[in-house]
Amino acid sequence: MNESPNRPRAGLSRRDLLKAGGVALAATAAGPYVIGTRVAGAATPKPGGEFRFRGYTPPHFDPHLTASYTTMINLSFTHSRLLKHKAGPDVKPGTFEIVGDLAETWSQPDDKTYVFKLRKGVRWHKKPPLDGRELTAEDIKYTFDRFTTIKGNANQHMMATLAKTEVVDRYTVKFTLKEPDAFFLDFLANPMALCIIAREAVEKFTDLKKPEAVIGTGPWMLEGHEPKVRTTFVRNPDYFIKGLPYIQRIEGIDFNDPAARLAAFVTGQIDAGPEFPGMMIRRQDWKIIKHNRPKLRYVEFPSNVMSHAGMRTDKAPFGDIRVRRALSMAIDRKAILTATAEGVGVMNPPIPAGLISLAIPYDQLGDGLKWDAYNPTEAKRLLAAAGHASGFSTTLEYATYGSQEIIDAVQMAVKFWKDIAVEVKVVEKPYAAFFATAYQGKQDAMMFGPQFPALDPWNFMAQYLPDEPKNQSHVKDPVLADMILNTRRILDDKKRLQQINAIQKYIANQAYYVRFPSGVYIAALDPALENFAPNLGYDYGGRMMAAWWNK
Amino acid sequence: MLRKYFFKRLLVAIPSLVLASLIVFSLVRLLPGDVVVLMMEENQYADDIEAMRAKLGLNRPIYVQYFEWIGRALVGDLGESLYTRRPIAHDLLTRVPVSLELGAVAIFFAILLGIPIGIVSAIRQDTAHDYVARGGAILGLSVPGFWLGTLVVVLPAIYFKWSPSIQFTKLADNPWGHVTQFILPGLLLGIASAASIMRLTRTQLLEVLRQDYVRTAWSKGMSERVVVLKHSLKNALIPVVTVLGIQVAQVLSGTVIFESIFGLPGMGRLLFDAISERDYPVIQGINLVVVTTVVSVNLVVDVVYAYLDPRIRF
Repeated sequence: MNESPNRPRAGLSRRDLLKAGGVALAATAAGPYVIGTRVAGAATPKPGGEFRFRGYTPPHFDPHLTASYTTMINLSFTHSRLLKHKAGPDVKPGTFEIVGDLAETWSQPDDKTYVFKLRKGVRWHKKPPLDGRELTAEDIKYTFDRFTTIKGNANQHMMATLAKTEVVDRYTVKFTLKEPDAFFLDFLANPMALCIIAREAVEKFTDLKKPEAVIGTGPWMLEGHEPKVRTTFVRNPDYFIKGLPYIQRIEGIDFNDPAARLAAFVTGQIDAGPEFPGMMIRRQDWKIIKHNRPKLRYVEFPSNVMSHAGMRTDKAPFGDIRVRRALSMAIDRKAILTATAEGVGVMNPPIPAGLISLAIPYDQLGDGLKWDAYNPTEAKRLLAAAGHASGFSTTLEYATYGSQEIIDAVQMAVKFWKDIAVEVKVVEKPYAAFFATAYQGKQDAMMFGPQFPALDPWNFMAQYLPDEPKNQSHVKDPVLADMILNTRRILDDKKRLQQINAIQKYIANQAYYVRFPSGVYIAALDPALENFAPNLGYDYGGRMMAAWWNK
Repeated sequence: MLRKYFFKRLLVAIPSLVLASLIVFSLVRLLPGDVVVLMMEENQYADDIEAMRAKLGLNRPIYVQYFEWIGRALVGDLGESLYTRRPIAHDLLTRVPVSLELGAVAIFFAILLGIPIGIVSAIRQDTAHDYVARGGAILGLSVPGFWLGTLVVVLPAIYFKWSPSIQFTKLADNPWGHVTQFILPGLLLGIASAASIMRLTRTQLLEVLRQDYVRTAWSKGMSERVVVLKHSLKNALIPVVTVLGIQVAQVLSGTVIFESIFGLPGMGRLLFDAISERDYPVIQGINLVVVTTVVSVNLVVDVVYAYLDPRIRF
């Protein structure tokens, strides 16, 4: 059996975290990144109670017809997947060890085949039309057949290598791939798309958009859904892990004003940090919260949301590697972190430092590292060597995403580029227009924006493939494309990680994008919540499953 | 006579509504760029652009689109939300009462604060009371509602460990809790209106107090209470009633901010979310309802105005 490359490194220390990011800045003064997590001791878990968090109203509940995180977060409470990411206090944020969910065991008889043995006695929620029917391999096949064939599924690319799904027997399902795909298990465990659904629900409700169609095999059942008010979940008494979940009721309260969220958290109206993604709080609110709730448990870890400036490498002057390197060297990343994240953040290799078991340690980027170092003098020299001694003018398209941090970062970048005589005219676009154009690489020259916060390496590497819509820099590098595509075929974890590291070094050296630093998240929660630890990603339900209230 | 006046005003209101519906209907089509392309590419509201146009009915002549839309709207069918796929009218049925409650509480506070303070300010002209009241009114008009709302939510949380509940309480679940949750946002929303009403009440009352018939009342030895409240106030309030009608529109627009800050699931928040999601059928539906409400309220105000002052017959 092959293991996922997302295996966490044993004994990850603060030093490792800092190395991964390459910079500590104010974090070193403030204390270590990971603070205050507490593993449930010998105390016996207490069932019952209610957990209140900032919830989301999804456009609808059909996971195959939207890529919205709001849908996926809600379904993480109600639905199971074949595989999932391990959760709990012993899991370091930013690591994603794959464990079985509905799958009890799995094997890989050959490079292109995966066989999953399902748990027996798993039952669908006791809601019509399922009424507690047992889950079988047919359900898995139905889910994947629908996922790969339904029109309008924005996540379909995740199963691009899947050729067919077959039922071997009632509890065994076989996947045959078109070609070896080392990331296949990562996608199965992904909390962003692949929860298992039931045919009867689809047939009864036409699709799974309505709340009544939210019937899964997960630890909680959807109890009520009042759009823009609250979504509530109640414990599934027939959940396939006996005794779990402990918490009786989950309430996702939907409110979107940041000040109201801060007030609600400070006054204990919600139990965990109210910011997306996943129980975070804003750094600018941290002092207030810490002062008012001194006993809070909190964890700090780097974000996997990385912003970058892309440029049309298929057009002059960005086709010239010296220009790209100059643009990168012109940026004072530490100054940007100081301005946008109170100095607490990490430098990013091509895979965000937040994904600590996948990102190459920043100080090991090799030759590429020097293009990230702030050096306007060298940047000017490179520009002169490229025939732009007096600089050049260009445009940069971006959207604010409603974030002052993004606006500040762009303004500072423009100032740094101006320092090397590159005049950048900023074109601010509404989010939708940006998403439809520059985010898909349809900008005139440069673009800036945060990237999809994936948990797997493939999503980050794929944006360097020529036909990938998110290839915002229009990279057409056959050597790199070959390296990336080859990664999928390397089934040995260690070798694949080496290849991923080599790719990151190569990309950094080519300076295809100007990468910006990421902030460090603060996840905070009520001190009485035991056996819980936050992590990146949408799997709120998975992380809550074994948590309990010690009060 | 009053009935005849009412029907005349109703006849005037109809073209206003038709014009407003035309504006609401045209909004999407007047926006720069191809909104359909943006909606499609961002939110995948349909399989392709043509399906998206067909879904919005944009593939037919514009007059056909308008008459079909307004025809359905007249029977209460505002279409379906592109984002949630729920009937818009159904969503509005649950959202409108929340906004109306908030608006009613705001207007209640606007009247409760604006008129008495305006009276005191007028009868104590150029005294400390007057200066404080006028200063307060200027402050009430100039302080942005969103800032005030944010302060009221955050500061008590920090200093007193208290903040308004973020959970919306339904009337059926807890009638007292339901009513009280509107008090703070209603008060804040009503402050700007109260300031306008206070200033107008003061000005109008000062003017009336200088009238001959009021001087006569004073000379008869009537008490201040009788002169002000019985003889002067009714006449002074006629323009205030008109302004109240205008305030309804202001209050309705203010609900967008206060519903977001106080977590009230009203029409304003629905509009805010619809704009964020480029859910144009919902935006159209809400605007139509708001326009209809404002026109209706102004119709009522005109009738009340005519009732208060029988001389008025436009």
